[in-house]
Amino acid sequence: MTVFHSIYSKLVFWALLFTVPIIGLLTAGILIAMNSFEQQLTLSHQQLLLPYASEIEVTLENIHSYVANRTVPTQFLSKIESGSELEQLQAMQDLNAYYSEDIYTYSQIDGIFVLHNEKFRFIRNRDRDYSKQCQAAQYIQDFLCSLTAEENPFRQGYQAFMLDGDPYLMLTQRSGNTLWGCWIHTQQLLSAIRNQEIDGLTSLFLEDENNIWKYETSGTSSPLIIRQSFYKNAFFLTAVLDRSELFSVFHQLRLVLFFLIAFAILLFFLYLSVLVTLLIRPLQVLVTQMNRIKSGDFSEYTIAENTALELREVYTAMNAMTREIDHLKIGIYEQKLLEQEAKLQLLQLQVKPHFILNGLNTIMGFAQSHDFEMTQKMTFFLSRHFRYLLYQEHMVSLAEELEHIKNYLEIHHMKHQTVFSYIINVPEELYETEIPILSLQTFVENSLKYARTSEIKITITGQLIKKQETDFLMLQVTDNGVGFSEELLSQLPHPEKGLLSRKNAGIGMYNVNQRLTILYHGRARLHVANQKQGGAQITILLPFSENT
Amino acid sequence: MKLLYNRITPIRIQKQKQKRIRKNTAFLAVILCLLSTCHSIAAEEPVTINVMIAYDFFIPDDFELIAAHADALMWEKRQFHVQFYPALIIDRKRQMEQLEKQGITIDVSTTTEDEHLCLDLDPLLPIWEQDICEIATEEEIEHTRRNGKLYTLPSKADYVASFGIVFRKDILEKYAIDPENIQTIQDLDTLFEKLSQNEPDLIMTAPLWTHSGFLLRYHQFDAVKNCIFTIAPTAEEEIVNKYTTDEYLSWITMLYKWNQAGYFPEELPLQNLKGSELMRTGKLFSYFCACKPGIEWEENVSSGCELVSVPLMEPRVTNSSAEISSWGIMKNSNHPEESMQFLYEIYTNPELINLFLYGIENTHYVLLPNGTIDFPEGMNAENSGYYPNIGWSFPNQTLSYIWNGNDPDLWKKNEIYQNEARRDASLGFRFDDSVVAWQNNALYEIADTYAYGLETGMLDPTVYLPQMLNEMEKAGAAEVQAELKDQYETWRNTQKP
Repeated sequence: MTVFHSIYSKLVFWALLFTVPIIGLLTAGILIAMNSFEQQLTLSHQQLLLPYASEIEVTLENIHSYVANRTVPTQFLSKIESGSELEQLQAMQDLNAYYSEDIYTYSQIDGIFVLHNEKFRFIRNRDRDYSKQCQAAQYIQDFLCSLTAEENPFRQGYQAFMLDGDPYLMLTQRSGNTLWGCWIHTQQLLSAIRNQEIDGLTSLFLEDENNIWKYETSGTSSPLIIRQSFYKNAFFLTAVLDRSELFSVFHQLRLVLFFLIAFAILLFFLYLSVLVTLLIRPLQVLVTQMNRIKSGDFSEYTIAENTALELREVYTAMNAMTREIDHLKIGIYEQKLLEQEAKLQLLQLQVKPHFILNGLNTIMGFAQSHDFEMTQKMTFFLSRHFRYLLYQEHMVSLAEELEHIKNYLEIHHMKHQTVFSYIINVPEELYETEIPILSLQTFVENSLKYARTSEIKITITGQLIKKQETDFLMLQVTDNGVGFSEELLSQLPHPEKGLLSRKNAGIGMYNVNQRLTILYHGRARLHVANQKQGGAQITILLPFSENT
Repeated sequence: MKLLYNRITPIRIQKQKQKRIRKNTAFLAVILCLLSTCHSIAAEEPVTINVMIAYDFFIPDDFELIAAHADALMWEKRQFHVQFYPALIIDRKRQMEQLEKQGITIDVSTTTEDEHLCLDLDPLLPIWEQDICEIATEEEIEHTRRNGKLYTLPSKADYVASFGIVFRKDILEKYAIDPENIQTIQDLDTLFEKLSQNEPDLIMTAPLWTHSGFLLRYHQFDAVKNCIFTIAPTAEEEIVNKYTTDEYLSWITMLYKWNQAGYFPEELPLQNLKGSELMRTGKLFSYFCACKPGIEWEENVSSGCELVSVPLMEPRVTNSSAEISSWGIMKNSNHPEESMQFLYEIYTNPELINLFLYGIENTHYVLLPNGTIDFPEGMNAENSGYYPNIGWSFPNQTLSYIWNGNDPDLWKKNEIYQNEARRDASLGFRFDDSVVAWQNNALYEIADTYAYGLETGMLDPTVYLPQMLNEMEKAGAAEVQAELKDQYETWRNTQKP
């Protein structure tokens, strides 16, 4: 779900939310339009056959009225039967001319038949198939013979019959004893329509209300059947259209639609990628840069050549900000260092004024007692002491510190006339090791002050030890005094708290502790303990590296 | 102010310049218009000539289509339009008269019978780019002349034929009849008698068309087309009434006998059939026709049966046979030169010839790899929109395609056949009946009454032939005969011996 929260996914989501409905609506609209157009086309096709059907109706009505009104040339017929050969010949020729003219007028007629005195004759339309005409004539002859006397089939109007897959219409009229009429091969009626070349037309035929005409229709996959009734609904003009051929344009349209949608989707993705390039990526750049600043990398971001104006401004401001932070940080550090320097100096200069005053007093005493040797000596040692104290450096060599301690002890001896002894157990190779100034002297001073024994014995040792994989220089100052009190020791885990509460006695230790912290960044250790055999033990652990 | 002046002057001048230019262009435009109108007036509208094409039995369904194609062809080739009018041969004159009434003048017509209506072609011959000799020999041209005048050009169609009959091959084989043995009327009689006993339901024979008699192609009397009198094809060259000849009598007697015996289709005048159509139903055994190389194949296609042809007379070139495929220009044609050009095309352009003979390629026929043509898939002689079989009426049939199944050497064989045919001495003679027009017409009317009946066996020749001849006598046959004799002798004397 975190993925969902990113701007990119949000953008995609909202873009989809807007474009999908639009595209969907458009598609739906087009499909609806196409559907309605298809329906309209179908409807218009329904109307397609109407003019043709009416034309056929007119033809049928004309022929009907012709049969209704045409007189039978009985004079010719009788002459054919009873007359001289020449008369017969002429009568035949006349009869032929008589009906041939009618066929010429009503060219849809396939043949005209006459049954007169049980003699069946027919005059054929010369443009048609003779064999089929014979067949039809035979059928009609059989039909006429089946009629009862006085029966006039004309009342029933057109009669449909089918022979060998050929549909016919027959119209018979009675005129006295004579039955005559005509027949029509209905497929001929459709020739005009066929010449029109209607799109998608697979078959065209006439149907009658009694379904006498039956056709074999070749199965088209999706037939559209249009039926137009005519002649008082006695007949139907039926057209079978191939829907797929007819509506092939729709197929094409659908294809076009599909491509349009695909194109739209493609455009959408293109838009997204453009969006990413223009907006998302700069955002990511900004985010990355911020993260870098957070992790402490203050490097500038190089602005690409063709960045947008607004982005260019943002990047430039961001770079300026980065630089500013960088400078501030350095400034702060430097300030901090200066502060520390000052602190350090201050700590270092926590000189005990009373020691100087006492020393001067001692000198004055010696001078008063005219002990010039002691005065000289005291002055020399004291000046050496002060020179060392006002030594500006934070770090001194171990040798120098030890020398200073010796000097201090001499002064103390001259001052106080107490009995003490000291041992320095430091290997010579450690002499050049740098240690913080007055770090050992403070504890030696403490020992002299608080040992409270008659013969103070101070031991200063130094050695290299390894503690937790690190080399340390261990400096120990021990005495044979009373040691630290339990109260003090229990407070020492928090030396600054504990020691500050004690005046004078704690300050030195506190001072050393602070300076150790500053100079060694907390890596140095100051241990305060009592020796087993009694007496205080101060241990200073300084991180040792070869070049200190 | 000075600056302003400088600025105005250029504009004024510019305006004047523009005015001038406008005037000039207007003037130019007017001139151009005048020129173009003059040109358009002077330029001719495209010429349209009217051509009548004759079909023998019915006008094919796709005639309009063919006509349109032919018109396009002629336009492309010769830059004039041709309007085609179809007509049935028997109806041709009536059709022409009807069109005249409508104001349409026919320029070119096929089968010109009446030379009074035809244009003399001699002055137009130079229009023919090719030397005529490549198409027809001198002799042929002479034979085509009618009394010295050239109204049509000699044709290379298969007009030479011999009066004959086609039989159904399967029946012949069934009864082991050798067609070689059938040569005379007697042979036919014997044949029909024998067959009718064995095949009582089979109609023995029929004429080529039921609206003409059996002797339609009987060319013994064809020397004079427009008269019942003819020049006998003997050495004496006497003028005889064709209805009085022995041959005629023997034929109609036999035909009467056959009709009585029931060998013919019933009530022939009512049938309106072609022999081949009746043959297609399988009810007919034979029908009369004009035999020539390729006839069997032609009739096979028309009738759908395998037929054997038997000529009953030797082939002859007569005046009427030469006229069968004669195309000519009408006298009152408005565009004789274009008409002559059209005739030239009909003679020499295979595209045009094939168009009228066979229709449109791939619609009515397809070209086979071996160079012959055939019906496209699913089409036959019955349902084709254009299968008129009027090749015989086109002057240069040798340029047309040969139908599949037919002899590929058909035209060569035809040429040999025609060359070997006997030529009438009277070739080139035309009878001018203007002097005896009234009598001649009367004679024809009488012939119309009786001839059909006699030649279809419906009228008893013993009764009606004398009756006819009697009437003819009364109508002035002798005068016509005398006139013909006169004219023929005159003509004969002008001919080289």
